[in-house]
Amino acid sequence: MRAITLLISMLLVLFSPAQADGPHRLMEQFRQALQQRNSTAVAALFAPDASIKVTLLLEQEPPMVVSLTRAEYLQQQRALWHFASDYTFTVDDLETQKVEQGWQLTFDQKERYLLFQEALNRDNRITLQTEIRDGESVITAIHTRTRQW
Amino acid sequence: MKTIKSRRLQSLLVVLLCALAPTLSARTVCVFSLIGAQGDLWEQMEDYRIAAAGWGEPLSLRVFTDERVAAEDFKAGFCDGLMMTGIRARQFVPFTGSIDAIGGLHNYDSLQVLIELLANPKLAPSMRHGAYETAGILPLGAAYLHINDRAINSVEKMAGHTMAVFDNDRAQILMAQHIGVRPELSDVSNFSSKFNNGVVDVIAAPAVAYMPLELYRGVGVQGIVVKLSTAQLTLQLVLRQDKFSPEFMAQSRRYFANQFERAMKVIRHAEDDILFFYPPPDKDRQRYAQMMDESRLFLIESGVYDKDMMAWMKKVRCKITPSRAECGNGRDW
Repeated sequence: MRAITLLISMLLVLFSPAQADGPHRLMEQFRQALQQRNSTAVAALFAPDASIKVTLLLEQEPPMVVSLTRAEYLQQQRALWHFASDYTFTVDDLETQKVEQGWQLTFDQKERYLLFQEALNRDNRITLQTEIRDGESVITAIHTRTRQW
Repeated sequence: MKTIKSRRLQSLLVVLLCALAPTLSARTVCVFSLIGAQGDLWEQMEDYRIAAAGWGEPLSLRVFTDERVAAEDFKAGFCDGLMMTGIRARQFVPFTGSIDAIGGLHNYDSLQVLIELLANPKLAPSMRHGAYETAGILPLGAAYLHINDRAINSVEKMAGHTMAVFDNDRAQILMAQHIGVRPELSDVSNFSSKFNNGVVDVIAAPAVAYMPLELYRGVGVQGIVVKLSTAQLTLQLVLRQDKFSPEFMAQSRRYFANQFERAMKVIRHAEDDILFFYPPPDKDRQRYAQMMDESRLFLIESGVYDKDMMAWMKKVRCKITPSRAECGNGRDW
């Protein structure tokens, strides 16, 4: 009886929506949250202890690597949306890989903001690390390499 | 008929005198506020005025948008007290005026501990200096470096660039020279326009100045605001000692210490608005921290800051973060 219960539990975990959808559901939520400029929805996708690393590629300088807290990352996104009079982005080239506790998603994101009547273009190569927590897939780490002009 | 008119006039005068009596005897507290008699600071001072009336001390408030003029009026005795920046307050009470020391306190928790400490009646004698006494301290927010080019991403790279420094703060001038930055003498009224118009590359300013002074224009799309507290700026109420009782001074300090969270709400809200607000690059974090420590020591040794306050601030830093290297070095500050 115990063995059957254990088997059912394992099957339930394996075929729970978060696992079954794999990374695509989370990716779609992420994309939609950005599209709607919904900072609450973006925040909900990040684990409270998420680690964030931003590598800024500078033209004539070595890359600048900055570690941010979840709060700092989300604050920057909110501030950009607040100041930008126009915001568009595309996501391409999604690669997914199953890792020990979740998935690793790597994709290209091209962003265009209109800031202070100037265009701000960003090409980002983003890697997200996800985990299943409380039955939901959440982002536990994000590393973005950004070229900006 | 004449007698009736005369009596009416007398009654009117009595009524007017009664009505004006509190105003006539009220002490004048001047308030430096860049935006005039409006906004959060003004509201806080209005609430203070009401609280003071409850303690039996009627106050009238007078606003100044020019801090230099306010300080001159205070010295000349036209104001019985002045709410001003901690940097300006240093000339009146060097002990509390040194709270805004470069590299002095690294976070808001430390500042709150220090303000609570200074509201303790046992420290009242330290709050006095000559004719003046500090009767309240409020946080104004950390001073952050605003830079118009993110390639200036290390202390060393700042050398040779121009930075606006306040002409009433010897510390900023010495600090700029110390790290090889070209100082451009400025004041509260013009430092932002110099930055926004590209006259200077770097300024230090608290978040509460960011939106009102449109500092995002100076930072532009290529700049950065370094999320590292270079100093904890404060607003300080300095009163003339002979105009207020020691009990009032103590009540006043307690009142402002209790206003800490209210002031922090405004600061946190302002910090949430800052664009391109990044901590120093990972590889330079240690170097920035080292620069702050070196600058503080250099400025203490140059006689800019009050040494007693510096000793208290070290105690506070080590209480909040006991793991700091300085906590076991045996130095007073």
